[in-house]
Amino acid sequence: MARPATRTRDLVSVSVDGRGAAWCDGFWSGDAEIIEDARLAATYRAAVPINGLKFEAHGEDALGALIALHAHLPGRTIVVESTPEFGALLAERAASDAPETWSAA
Amino acid sequence: MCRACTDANPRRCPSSLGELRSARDRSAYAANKAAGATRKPTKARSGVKGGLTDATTVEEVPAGPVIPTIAEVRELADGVSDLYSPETRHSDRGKALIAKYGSEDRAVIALGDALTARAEMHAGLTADDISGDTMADRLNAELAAAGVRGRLKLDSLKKEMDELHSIVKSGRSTLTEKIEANARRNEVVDQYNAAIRSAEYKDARVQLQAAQNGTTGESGQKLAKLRDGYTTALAEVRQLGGSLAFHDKTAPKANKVFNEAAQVYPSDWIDASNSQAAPLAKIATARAHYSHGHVERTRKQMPVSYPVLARADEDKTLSNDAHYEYTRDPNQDGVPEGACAGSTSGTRRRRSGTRTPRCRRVGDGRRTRRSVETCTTGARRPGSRRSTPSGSRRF
Repeated sequence: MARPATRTRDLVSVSVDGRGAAWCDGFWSGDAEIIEDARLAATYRAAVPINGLKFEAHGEDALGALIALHAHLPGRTIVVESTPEFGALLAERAASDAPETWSAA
Repeated sequence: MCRACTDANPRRCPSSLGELRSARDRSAYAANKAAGATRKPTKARSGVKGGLTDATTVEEVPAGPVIPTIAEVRELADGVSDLYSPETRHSDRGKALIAKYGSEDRAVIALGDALTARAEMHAGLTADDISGDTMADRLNAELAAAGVRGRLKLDSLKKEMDELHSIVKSGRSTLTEKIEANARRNEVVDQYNAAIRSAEYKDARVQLQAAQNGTTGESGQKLAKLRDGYTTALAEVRQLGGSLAFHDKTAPKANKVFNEAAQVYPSDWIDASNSQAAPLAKIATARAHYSHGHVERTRKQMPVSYPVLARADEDKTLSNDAHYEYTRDPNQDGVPEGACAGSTSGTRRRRSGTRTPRCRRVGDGRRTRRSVETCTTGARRPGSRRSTPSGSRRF
C-alpha cells in the first residue's frame, strides 16, 4: 500500500551576512534578530524596500513571509529558497517602474 | 490549547501534531542551510564528497581596479544629481542611469566606488594598505597606556577609593569606622589625583589619542596621503573651497581656522552660507552654540541705509548713501545753544564718562538741596546771580 501523498509545504529562506532565517508554513526559524524584525514587519504589514521598490510584508503566505524576511537588512539579504511568485512579483513591479513608463516631467 | 490526557476531554498540544512539527523542523533545517550557504568555502576534507565546498563557486577577481576617467566620474555625478532632483529625475540621463544600475542607491554606490578608485590612484595607496598599520599603532599605544596605568597603580587606587567610599556610606559601619575610612579615602584621593596629573600619564594619554586619531607615525603619514587623495578626487568633480564671510566681531584666529576647514567644502555651499547673515565664529573649549541665520547684534554703530522715496525724474543714486543713527538727548528739548533753561526740579543728572560743568544759584544764603539749581549747558540764567566756582567759596 502506497504512502499517502503529503502536502508540499511552502518554504522560504534567506541569508543575511552569513546568518540564516526561514519560514515554513507559519513557523519562523533562524537568527533571532532577523526573525524578530520579520515578525514585526509581518504583524504590522510593513512596506519593505527590495531593489528600490516597496513591498508589503505579511505572514499569511510564503510570498509575504519572504518580503518580511527582508525587513532586517534589505540590502544585504540573499534569497536562498524562494517561491515562483516572488520572482514574478519583482519582475512585474520592475516593469511598471521602468524608466520607459515614467511620464515626462 | 492542550489538555492533559488525564482530563475528561484530553487534547494533544497542537505543536506536537505531525504536520506542524514537520513544518517547524523544515523551517529550522532551511535556516541552518541558508546560514551555511553563504559562508566562506572551507577546505574540503579528504574522502568527503559534495557539501559546501563543491557547491560554492568562487568568482574570478580582476587583476586590478579599473580607474575611471575624470569625464566619466563627472558624468556619473551629474547623472546622480539629476536623479535626486525632482525637476530632472525623469531626464534622459536619469533614465539611462536607472537602466544601467537598477536603482538610485546603486548609482550612488557606483559613484562612490569611482571616486574611491580615483582617490586611491592619487594617493598611491589604498585603505586596505593602511588599516593594518593603524591598528598596530593603536594597539601599541593602548599597551603603553595600560603599562603606565599599572606603574602608577591607578586601578588599585580606584578600587580602594570605591571600597572606602562604600564603608563611609554604609549604614552598617560604626562612626569610628566611617571616620577612619574617610581619612584614608582622602589620602588615596590625593594619591590618585597626583598620579592623574603626572607628566607620564598625560604623555601616555596624548600618545593614545594621537594613535586613535591616526596622526602619529608612518600610518599617520599614509592616512594624510589618502586624505589628500580624496580631496583631489572630489575637487575633480566639484569645485571646492572659498572664503567664508564672518561677522566683524570674529577674531582673526577663529576666522583663519574656519576658513582652513572650509577649503574642503563645495564652493556653492560656501556661497550659500555667505548669502545669509554673517555668523560670529569663536574658538571655545566648552560646548558650541549655533543658531542658523542668526543676526549678530552689536553695540557698535553700524551704517544703516534708509530707503529714499524718490520720484521717477529724481536721481536715485542718493538712496544708497549710508546714514548713522543718533540718539536724541531728551534733556535738551527746546534749549537753544548757549542758553540755560534752569531746571527747577533740582535733580542731578550725571552721565557716565562725561562730566558736565554746572552752575549753581544760591537763594537766601543757605545751602539746601532745594535752592541749588543746575543747568547742563553751564550758561547763566537770565536774572540769576553770578555763579560761584565750586570750591572757591565755602558756606
